Amino acid sequence: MKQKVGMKYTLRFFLVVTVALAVTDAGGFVQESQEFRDVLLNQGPKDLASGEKAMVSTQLPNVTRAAVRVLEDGGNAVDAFVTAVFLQHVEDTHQVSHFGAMSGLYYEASTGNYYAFNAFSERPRADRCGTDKKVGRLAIGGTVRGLESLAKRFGTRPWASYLEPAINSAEQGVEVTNFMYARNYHLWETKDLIKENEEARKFYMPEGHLVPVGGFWKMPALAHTLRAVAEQGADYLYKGLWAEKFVEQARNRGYCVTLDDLAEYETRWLEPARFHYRGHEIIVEPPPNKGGLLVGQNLNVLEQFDLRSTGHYAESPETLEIMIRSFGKVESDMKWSIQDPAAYHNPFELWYSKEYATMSAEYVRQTMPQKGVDLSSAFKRETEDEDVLSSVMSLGSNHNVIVDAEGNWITSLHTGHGGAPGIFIDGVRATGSGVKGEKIGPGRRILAEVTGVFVAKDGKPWLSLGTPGFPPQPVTEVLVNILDFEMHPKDAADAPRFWAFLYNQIDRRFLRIESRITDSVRKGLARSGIPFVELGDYNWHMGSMQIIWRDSETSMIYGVSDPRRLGYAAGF
Amino acid sequence: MSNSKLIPVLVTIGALAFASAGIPQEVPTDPNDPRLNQGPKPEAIGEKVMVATQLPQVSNVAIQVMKDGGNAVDAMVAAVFMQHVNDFHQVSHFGSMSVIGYDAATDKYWALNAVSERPQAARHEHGDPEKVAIGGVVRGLEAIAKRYGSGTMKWSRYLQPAIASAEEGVIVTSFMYGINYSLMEQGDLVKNPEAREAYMANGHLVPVGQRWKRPRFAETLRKVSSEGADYLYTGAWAKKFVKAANKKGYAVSMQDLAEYKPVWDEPTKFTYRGMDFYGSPPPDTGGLIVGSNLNILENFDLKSMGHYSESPEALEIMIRAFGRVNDETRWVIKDPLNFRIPSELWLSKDYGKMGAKYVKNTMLLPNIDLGATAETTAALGQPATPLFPGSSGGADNAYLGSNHNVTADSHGNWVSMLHTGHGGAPGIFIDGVRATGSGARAYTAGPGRRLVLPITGIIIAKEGKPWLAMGTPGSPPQPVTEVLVNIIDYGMHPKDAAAAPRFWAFRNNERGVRIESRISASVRTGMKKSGIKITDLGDYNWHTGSMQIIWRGDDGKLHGATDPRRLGSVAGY
Repeated sequence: MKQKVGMKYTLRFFLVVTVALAVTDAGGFVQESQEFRDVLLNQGPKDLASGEKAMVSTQLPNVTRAAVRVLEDGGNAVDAFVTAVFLQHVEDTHQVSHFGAMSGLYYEASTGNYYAFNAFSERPRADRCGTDKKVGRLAIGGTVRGLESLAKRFGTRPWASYLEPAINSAEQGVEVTNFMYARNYHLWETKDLIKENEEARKFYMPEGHLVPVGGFWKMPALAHTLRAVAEQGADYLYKGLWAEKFVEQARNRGYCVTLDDLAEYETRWLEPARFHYRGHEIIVEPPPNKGGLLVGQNLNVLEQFDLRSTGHYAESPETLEIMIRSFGKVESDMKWSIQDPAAYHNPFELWYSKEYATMSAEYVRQTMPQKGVDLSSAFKRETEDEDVLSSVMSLGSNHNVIVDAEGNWITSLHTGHGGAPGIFIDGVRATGSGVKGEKIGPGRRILAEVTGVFVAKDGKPWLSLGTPGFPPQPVTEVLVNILDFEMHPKDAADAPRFWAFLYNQIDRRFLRIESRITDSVRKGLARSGIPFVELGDYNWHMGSMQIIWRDSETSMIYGVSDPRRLGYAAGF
Repeated sequence: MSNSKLIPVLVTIGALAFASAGIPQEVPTDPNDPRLNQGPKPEAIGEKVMVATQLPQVSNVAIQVMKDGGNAVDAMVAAVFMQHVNDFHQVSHFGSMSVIGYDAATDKYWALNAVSERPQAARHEHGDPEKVAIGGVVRGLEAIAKRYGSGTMKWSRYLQPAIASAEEGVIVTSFMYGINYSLMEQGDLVKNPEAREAYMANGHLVPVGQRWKRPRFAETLRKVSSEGADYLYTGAWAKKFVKAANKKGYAVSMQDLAEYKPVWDEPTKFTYRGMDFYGSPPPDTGGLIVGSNLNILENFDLKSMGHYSESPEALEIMIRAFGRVNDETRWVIKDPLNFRIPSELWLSKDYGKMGAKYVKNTMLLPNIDLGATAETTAALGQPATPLFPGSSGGADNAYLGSNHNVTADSHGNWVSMLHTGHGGAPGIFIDGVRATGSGARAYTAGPGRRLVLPITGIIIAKEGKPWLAMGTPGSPPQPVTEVLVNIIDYGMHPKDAAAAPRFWAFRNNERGVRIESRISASVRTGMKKSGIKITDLGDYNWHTGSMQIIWRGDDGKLHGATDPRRLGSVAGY
């Protein structure tokens, strides 16, 4: 039986590829043929890209190519970025949403200014609804408003041009990768959306079943919505027909949201957070995103240790334990205290002060096992616990980094986290978010653990990176690999990653780590009584690092993408 | 209560039985007597000695020991054995204890940890060591009697009142009946035939007002009286325990029991507003948590804001300070034989200032109001969280276990001690001793395998000498901090300080406060405004503890006060 199914899919694949090769769209945009077995469309190492002028790093070759094309045609980094995000709404639809959330950092070469933009989702105002409606997981998505703000402030191209590649792709169909198929399969198997929503079922299973790997998945409903956004702007989603449908459906499902809530949604422009790590200036996203503060505080504590002298964390139990305990301390600290700055104070300056770092490092040192104590005999690996992984499954989101010929840099993540449970309207999956966020007052943004990062030299970006999937600890690790261990960024992204003590898991306090660690590390963890779960050599939950940097001597720009997921860096 | 008509008859029988055993008549036997129920208890004043326990008959035994020439430690040891019988529902003869004290002769503050410890995992090829806890209380009593007792008391004298009481039977109070009922409703213990026989000799629980006799337990106590603690660690009871536990699949050996030793230590020392504090040291969490809480609060002028039950400002500062300390300490207080603990760092004044800054810098911005809708309070909570998640095995059902006692004698010796269950293994009940194990955090390797428990004994010194000592069962660190703030910051009489509304903040991953309901409307509005969810605990909630307090008054006399939330008794002369 299984064999038969496999043959059928193979046949379908050949047919589809042949058709695809022949397709040229009306706008002159060539859908380049790809083999779903191509390394770029799969997990595995990706090539280093170099360019003299511009560079793009995203999670799909098609998206990178579309962005590069904008840059080649004279567009700037923002033009390329906005184009890429819309295309990802189609080609990476399993990881992001057109009614999702977005935030990032922008460096403007002409003024030398850094900007932070927050277009993350926010909760509706609970005081606008009666007690018969709940806010629950309802979140007003911000991505398209955010793209609009970016384009208005820094873009140079007509709005409709940003949506062209996305519309073409939705109409012609997206080649289904292994990764995309697995996500769609997971959605069908585990989530209610496809089961209970007739429109979603039609969208995902146009012929009654999921489009298989290598097949071309057409999304006419999404193409229709994208066209309306091209014509009417973001207003179509916030004040127009889509907004009306969303409010009606969400209210029918018992959720509290009004057209006023949608109409009032605004992108927030903020001052980025800045700090220093071993003399490097680091620029990150400020609250309400938590990621920047976490990376900053992690590094601020680690700065108190000479990590180089104890060896790389994949080989030295001592270094790893310092990092684990530092991350744990920071997790405890941040748990209640990073809030939307529109409503709350934030202990930002306190955390970044060297005095606080000194005390935190003391805390790390003074919570280690006593000398000579060996807890190995009681050590249990918690691999049998099935919740260990599924409780942190995090496969959503796209992070993009783009540099243009004028020297403007953008680094930004976008994701789902907009809508309400069960919602799928006109090709847009919008199923809400469980992330913490107030429901009252001016500070109702959800508190996302994301951040883009710039490392600056003499005020100018030297390196930028970002990743989806619980970024703060992995981002800290890659920065430590680059800045402490002086690894090449490609190797830094490749090196084993870990999550330590996520979310204050007091009773099940374990480490999750990729398996490429030495036995001395395993023994050291056991000796210190730190239970750990091995995640395999490379685990895609650990993110997809997109990195671009400029060689200060040659001025060449380089880009890489993570081996853990699909990804492609390209420049010219 | 369907039993109410029976009560007068039973009381008469009970009183006669007590009188015949030579125990003074003043011990109440009427289950409706206020001293055997929740409600306010009178303050006691004594010229020479003072005891604070959780039952009149227990305080009575402690007083009697001191009248017979015993000191504060002797009185404590006898009281604890008496509680093993009379407060059977809250403690265990194979349970845990931790104690701090002041020895007048050597002018020394001391600490002894006799909390249960896990067996050595490395020693066992089969069975689970993680739910086994080797109880420490009787070894602990033996150790303090030997080192700090008066030396005038025979070991058997400590056990004599307990043995008499087990034979004659204990008057069942409403509180005891309630816990016995819940123990039999849930947990493994009811599956154990011996436990069923002990609890329900006639097929049902002994009702309120009747005497509950424990002949098998009396026999065990007699053996401990004649053979010492060894009976439980190397003797016949130990053998039965190891056999029964192994049979149920738990890893523990005679060697594990034989090697159990209480650990002498020094109390955790800190200062608050110029006063010297001594608290239970790690692995108990209480000393460090109370010290850290106060170290942050010292940076605020709470008094100027008004009492925390009336001032949302004061309450929010306390809530956020407690939340900060809770998150900071929860990972890292462990058995100090295995792990380093940043005690000095936490208790340093610089760290306190940083904590206070953190508290200030995580508050709402001015003019923000998160309380504009009724939904806010409900929506922020986690709806399905039970108010008091019961622990498995029933031994420490909710936070109703444990006894805290404080004693002070005419020589100037003071003792503040908590003892509880947390020993044994699930389902174990042997020769009258309930020993159902513990789920508390602890290692099964290395030298430091003691349970981490929130035990919180406190002694405050003035000019080096104890001025006030206190403690409570429950989940003490936050309630104890509140009572200390009531006494020291708000200048309240200790009795009023103990009665004042108590709360727990940011516990169990909840973004909110569980608080007794006697708070002002402005506090409710203020919490709502700040988005802090309030869970009402009722006017007085016995889960928030039973504070036992002794202090030396300005009159030079010893004073004692006890909590209105549970049964409690202070006595002195």
